[in-house]
Amino acid sequence: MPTRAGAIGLAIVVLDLVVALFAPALAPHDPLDQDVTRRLLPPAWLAGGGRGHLLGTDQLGRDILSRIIHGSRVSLVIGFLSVGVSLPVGVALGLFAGYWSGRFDDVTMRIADVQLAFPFILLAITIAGVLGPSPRNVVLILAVGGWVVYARLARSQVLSLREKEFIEAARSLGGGTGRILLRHVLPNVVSPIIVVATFAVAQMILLESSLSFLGLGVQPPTPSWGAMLNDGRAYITVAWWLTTFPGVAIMLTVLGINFVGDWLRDLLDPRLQSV
Amino acid sequence: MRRYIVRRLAQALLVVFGVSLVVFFVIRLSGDPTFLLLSADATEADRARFAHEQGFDRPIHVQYAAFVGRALRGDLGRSLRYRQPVLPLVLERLPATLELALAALVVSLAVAIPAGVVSAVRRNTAYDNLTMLGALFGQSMPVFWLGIMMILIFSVRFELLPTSGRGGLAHLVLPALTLGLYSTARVTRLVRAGMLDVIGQDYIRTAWAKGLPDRRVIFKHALRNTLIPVVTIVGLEMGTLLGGAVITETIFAWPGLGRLAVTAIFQRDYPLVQAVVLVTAMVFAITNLLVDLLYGWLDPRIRYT
Amino acid sequence: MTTSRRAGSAPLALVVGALLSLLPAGAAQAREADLIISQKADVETFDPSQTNNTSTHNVNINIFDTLVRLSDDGRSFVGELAESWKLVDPTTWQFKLRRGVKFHDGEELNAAAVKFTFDSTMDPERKTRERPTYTAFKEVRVDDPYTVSFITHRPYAIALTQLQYLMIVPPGYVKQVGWDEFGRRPVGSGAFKFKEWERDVRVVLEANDAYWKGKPKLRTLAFRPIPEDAARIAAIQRGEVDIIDAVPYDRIKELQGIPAVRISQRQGEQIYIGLDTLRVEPFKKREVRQALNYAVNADALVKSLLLGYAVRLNGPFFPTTPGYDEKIPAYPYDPERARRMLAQAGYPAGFDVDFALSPAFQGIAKGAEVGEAVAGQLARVGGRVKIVVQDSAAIFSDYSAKKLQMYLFAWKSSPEAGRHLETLLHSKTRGYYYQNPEADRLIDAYFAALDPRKRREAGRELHAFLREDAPWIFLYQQMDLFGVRKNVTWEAKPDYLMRMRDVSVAN
Repeated sequence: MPTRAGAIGLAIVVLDLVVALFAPALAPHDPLDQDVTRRLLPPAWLAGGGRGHLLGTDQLGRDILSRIIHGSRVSLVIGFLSVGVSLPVGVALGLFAGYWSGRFDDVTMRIADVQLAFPFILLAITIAGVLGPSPRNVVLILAVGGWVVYARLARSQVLSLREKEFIEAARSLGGGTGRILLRHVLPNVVSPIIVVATFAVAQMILLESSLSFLGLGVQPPTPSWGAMLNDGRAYITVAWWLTTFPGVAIMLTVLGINFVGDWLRDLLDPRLQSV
Repeated sequence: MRRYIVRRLAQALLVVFGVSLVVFFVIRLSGDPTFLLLSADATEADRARFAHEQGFDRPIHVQYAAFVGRALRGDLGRSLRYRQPVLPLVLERLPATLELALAALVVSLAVAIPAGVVSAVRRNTAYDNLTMLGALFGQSMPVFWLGIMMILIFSVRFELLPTSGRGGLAHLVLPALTLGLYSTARVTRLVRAGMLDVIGQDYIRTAWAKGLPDRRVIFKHALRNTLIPVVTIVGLEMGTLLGGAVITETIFAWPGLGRLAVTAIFQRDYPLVQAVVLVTAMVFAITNLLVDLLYGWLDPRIRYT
Repeated sequence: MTTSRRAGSAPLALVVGALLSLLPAGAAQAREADLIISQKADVETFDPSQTNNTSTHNVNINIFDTLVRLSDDGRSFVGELAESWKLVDPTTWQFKLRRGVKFHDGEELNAAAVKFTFDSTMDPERKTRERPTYTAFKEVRVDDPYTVSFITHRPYAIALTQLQYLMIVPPGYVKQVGWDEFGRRPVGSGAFKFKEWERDVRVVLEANDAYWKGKPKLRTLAFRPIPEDAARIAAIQRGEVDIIDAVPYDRIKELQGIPAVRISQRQGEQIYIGLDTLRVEPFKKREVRQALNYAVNADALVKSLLLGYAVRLNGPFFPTTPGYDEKIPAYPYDPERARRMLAQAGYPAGFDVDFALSPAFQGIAKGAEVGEAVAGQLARVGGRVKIVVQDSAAIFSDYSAKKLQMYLFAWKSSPEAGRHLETLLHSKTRGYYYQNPEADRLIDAYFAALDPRKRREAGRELHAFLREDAPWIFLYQQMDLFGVRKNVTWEAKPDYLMRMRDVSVAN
């Protein structure tokens, strides 16, 4: 049933999950094991490449492959969980706002505006300052920052659908708000939401890198893809492997999620099936 | 409709007010500025005196009331670090910020809309797959990496463009491309998804059945309806582009609001942070209003009361 | 029929139109000055009393003059506006000013101007950032139009050190335009006159042909701030700028490989790890603190992380600080000994503590890496430190609130004075994390010793004492590196200031 792309995507996502789950068994080295005298060694297949370090070592002599493997845990959890929290909340609020209009719509959208107008970084600094930096709080920060997109998207779709005939028909047949939203509106909203959500996972992982840059993300020496990206920034011209490999890991993960997302959308969208 | 606009403008003001309130309280929660703003040799007594002179030791609601009072008279205070009135500081950065944001937006729309449409029309062909792969690259690429690569390739290696800074059109190219890439990728995907949705719908098939030529069907009906989620995202992107382009601004030494805000936040320069957030909030609220009005124009079925 | 096309193109046309109207007319591709310096940060204000930031000082030192300047070898002082000076009594420093010096607006620079500068810097109403720098001075007295006396509260050996940053401002001009305007459009007596300033974009200065030391060789001088390291380096590679600061150590080889560029260096900040000796149990014991010094392999840090661009320190003194004793060994790397000492002190199983670090703090190079490396080394002897990364403001705030247990700090201090000892380790000035009456006594004696020989003796005693008492984990003094194009005759100086008046650009 899944398309070829969907299958590839699924395979990648499953691989990610497996790696994350069995990280300690899979990683060839301890990701925290530093040796300053063996720093910035190139990947094994290049001249000067460190034996035993397939992807080279980082600025403190730690094995990059092991850090990527262990980093998958943190990055994936952060990516999926922050979307997993913000998406339902955002969509629900957006649906109700668009459907009911009036007061609720205005209030919700203005709160959204206030939050959007608020620099994300200030929000991040505050939450981290008050609650302390930790992966859990990173998820919180990203979730708080992310719900608005889903709300506005859902709302815009509802607004354009609200006047449609089949909605009116359902209403006249006595359907309750919840039922109408769930059965008639939601499926039409799903498509762009899924697209945005799949983007969001990637965005969250990259945003985590910005938070690391501010010192608000995962605290060193715990590895995460975002933090590794940020660490490697100073060495782009000197040791490209520090940013490239975490970047590739992120890109592959995003690719996988996107393919799965496309497949899901095709599966769930009733209209497309008849084309 | 006019009543709607008036109501929305009033709400915009409320939003700005709400933002000012939140910013005021929030930033005071996040740290003590006296240490950072005084000389490194400052003693305990110096700091206490400075705090008293700035009014930091008064209760917070008293401070806020004073702030509002002054703000209504157009005085948003003085920057603690630069010792200059903040409003001019913020306003002098606005042109640079708008320039970069609009350039990035133009670039992304100019590329994304046609790319997305063609991709949808030629679904599952090599073109489509390549475009989607490209979009994927674009949205998972770290901005700082892209920016630095741009400088290394186009400036240092091929000597085509200046490395950084704001100047003429040549200085705008690399930052706009860097900042716009993420939007481009995102919008391309959205346009493609939206087009695919619409193509499968009843009224499109009705139009086909009626025998109208292909191209007009596609562009007239599909694009219009695709644009609604696109316009939403663009509205939100403006917010990001305005206040969140810190990384691009830092790499290209672009004198924008994003950098000003972050520096001010790190230095706990309260008045400056407040001013930046307020100005950004206003621009953002107005952008959102325009977006909502644009909805109405794109889809005449949407009614506002 | 054409609605669909309009729907797409109208907003686009609007946007493009708006964009075009915003473009500044003409491309500013040509260089705006004979010499362009690119620092990481822009100037904050042109009012010298309102800033203590090195990047800002580097701009202002070309617009203003000071009374004295640190010599090129960093060990004595050379007169600038002051032709000569003498110590009239232990608390009075009398300066004879050069005659005929004029500010850029024609005003005369005399004792009254000096007094005005000092008084306005210390004025409690103005809340200047530089005020704490001069707290040792009680007042300034005008003896005659060209003689001025600085009176200190107590005998103060480093009076000149503090005065080297006092930039003299014109009373007439300031009273005329006000401090705000002065901070935007300054008038000084320096080698260059202010021409224009676009915040975060450029500062342009032009030569002051009436300068008392002679016409500068450069006609125009500009500063272009570029915060991102990679972009700044690219700019000097392309020849867009002539001097850059804060060159990362890892990119030195690369820069040295470019024929047109060379590296100039000078000693920079002291990097150390502060310990809370008052509240954190393990750190109350001297043996524990010493053990930590043995546990850290600072030589490896200097060699591998900093690529040799740092000087290992054997205590809180710089090698150039009077009293520095090079015979005292720096704590060698001896983890075995560290473990033994910890066990003897009652911590056989180690201890847990929070380690605050701020990667961008005050120009520290590779702060995050040094912090992580040290944490790793300490963990090997049982010191389980939990790294807490904070931004500068947060760490400062916690520092003054005495919340930090262990922290990585960078401190800049004029190399020949040791002022940081007074600021950081004396219980009266800070006393947050270390209070030792013996240290206080020695520090007071050190700063009261006006005779250079007595000063060195007092310094040696102080240095030995602090090394033993180990209030910090002593690390190193890092080097500041500059990239300079080969046709520019500038070299980095030990006083952290970039004076450009004698610099020329060959063609």
